[in-house]
Amino acid sequence: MKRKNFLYGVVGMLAFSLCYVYLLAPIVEERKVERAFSQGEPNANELIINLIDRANTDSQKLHYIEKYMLMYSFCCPIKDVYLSPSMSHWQEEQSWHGFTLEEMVPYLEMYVERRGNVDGVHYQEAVVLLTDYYAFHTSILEATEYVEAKRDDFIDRSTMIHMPRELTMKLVELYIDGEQYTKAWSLIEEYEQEQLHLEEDEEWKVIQDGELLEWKVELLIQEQKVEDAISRITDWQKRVQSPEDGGSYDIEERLASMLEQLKKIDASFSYGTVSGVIANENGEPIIGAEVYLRTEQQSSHSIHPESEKYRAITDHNGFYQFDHVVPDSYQLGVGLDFEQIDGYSWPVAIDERIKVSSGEEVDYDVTLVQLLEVNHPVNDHVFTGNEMEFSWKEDRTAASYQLAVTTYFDGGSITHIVKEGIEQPEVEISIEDLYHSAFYVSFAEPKERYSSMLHPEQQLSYAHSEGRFSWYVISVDEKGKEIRRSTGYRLNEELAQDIPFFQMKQRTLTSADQLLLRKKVDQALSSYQHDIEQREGIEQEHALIMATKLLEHKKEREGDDNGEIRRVMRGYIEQLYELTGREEYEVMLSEKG
Amino acid sequence: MKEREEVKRCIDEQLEHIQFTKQKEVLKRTHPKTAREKWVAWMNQEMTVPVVPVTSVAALLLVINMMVGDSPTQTNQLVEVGGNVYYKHVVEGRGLEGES
Repeated sequence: MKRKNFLYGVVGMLAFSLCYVYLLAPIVEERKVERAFSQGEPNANELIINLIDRANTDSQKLHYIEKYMLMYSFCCPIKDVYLSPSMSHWQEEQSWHGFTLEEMVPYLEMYVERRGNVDGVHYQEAVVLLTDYYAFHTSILEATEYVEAKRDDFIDRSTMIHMPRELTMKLVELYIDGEQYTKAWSLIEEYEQEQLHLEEDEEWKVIQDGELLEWKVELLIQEQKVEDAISRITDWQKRVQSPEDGGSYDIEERLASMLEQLKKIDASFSYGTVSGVIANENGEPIIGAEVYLRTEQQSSHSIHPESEKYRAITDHNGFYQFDHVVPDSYQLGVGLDFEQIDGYSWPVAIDERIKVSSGEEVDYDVTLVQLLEVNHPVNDHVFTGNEMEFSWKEDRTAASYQLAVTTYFDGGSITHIVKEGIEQPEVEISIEDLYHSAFYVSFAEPKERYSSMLHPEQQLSYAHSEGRFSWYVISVDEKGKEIRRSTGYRLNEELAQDIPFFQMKQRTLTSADQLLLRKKVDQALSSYQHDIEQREGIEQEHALIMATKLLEHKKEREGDDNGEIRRVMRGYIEQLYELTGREEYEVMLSEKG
Repeated sequence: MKEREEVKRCIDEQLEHIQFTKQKEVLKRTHPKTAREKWVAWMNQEMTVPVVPVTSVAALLLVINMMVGDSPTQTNQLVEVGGNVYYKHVVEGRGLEGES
């Protein structure tokens, strides 16, 4: 090869590299963002911000802001974990959370300032988001002035003939928040007048009317016209038709829960407030958490931010506040990111409620506490001795501890508290105590037959020497109220080193057990009955327990008209009581047949 | 011999009107004097590119580039094990994935 040809090759490669960096790389970069964005990868935020910052032209920047910020940030940020005293749910995959208002503000300001054309919904969305930010960080008044100015500007510049809906709704909301009720009413009326001349899809119109009605109801309550508010909601409910997929519109749910509340209250009531701080026990505030105030009717449902009537976000001090709270009984719901709950839990009783009376100001703080650390047994430790030692890190504030063990079976698990009132951060549990822990048996005549699914592992329970078990511990105060627990979110690798699983191999499975595990229930029962006659000691007791459990199941399935099954069962329990003298069996025998 | 003479005569006749005028060019190439002549001569030198080392280095760079560019994103799937919620990749391989 001639030297010059080699040189041309090298120069060609360099030119290609430059082309790649300046022309192809941005396209590749956008593809990467697109992928991260569509798959909800947690680092999508960073990639999108980079993409906007590096864009060469203004129109490109505005396009990216629209595409990645405004399209997905209008209502509510997505949280990884939603907790309330009576429910909790979490995303199975850590995903992109969307942008926080703080992250978006510089880009939204750029968008509002540089976008020449105000038409289209994105401009209004950007203004609404900025208004929310100003209302949260400066004052309602300043936010109101901002949205008033932007709305007037919109009306001047827009080619659309009707009022900007989003900006008008936001202004109504701010007038109400700022107690400028007259202005709110007149704006609503002005808007409604204008709407009369528009021809729109009936279904869409009903939804829009519902959203407007939400504000009108607020105003009517303010004027103590509760009856009027009730009748307006009822009228609206007659007009609305739920979506075809069988669900319901968010506004439908919000108005329904409002109606329930209004029916319960006195016309002369005044609003209460609920406020508090969400922090961890080290005093670090939980910033940007979503907080919901949920009525009793709602509290059994999962949290869907868009259908929650009372929504707030914690500020830099972890502080949240709900004004205009209708007197009622509520539960607090919290939406958190995994990082905020990792290694912590919220100890709260399942039935805890916040009662708000007329005009009352309620303080309600949430303190997340660190998880208890378990020491032993962990990572599939195998117990072979009769005494099994459990230990965990001490909680100095605890009066005592409760130890619970979970048994797993096909398609489920069952957890029992195996010991309460433990005073030290360690305890010995005897395998015999576990074998003889109480199980369900009834000597009453079965009223109806039903065939419940029999899970062999569940029946064998702690005697399943091939099975695996997990355990956790709860520390409680003198009144038995939970202080902290060992189970929760353990995403940090350090928190995931010791997984509280163990095995109990003190016995080996008998042929009856093997038959049961193969779901040959009748053969297993005969085999256990044979063992009752032939074996002694703990294996005889095991055969008695298992035969009783299988007879209980047989009784449910086949009925027991002549009482034969129950007589045999009672006989087995009596035999168990004679052999062990245990209180559990005495209690079982005390049940009347 | 006669035949060769005949051919030569024929060629001489045909080339009678052609004059060779590029002597200088040829001299420049065979005996370069100025920097430019030397540069052109240098560029026109034959060189040998060792195929194996060059292609190996190029392939290596390509592979490194692909590895850096397409680093597999860590899975963020979560799994509930023994009442706790862990990242799936943390508990994987510890024989606990299936428990829930």
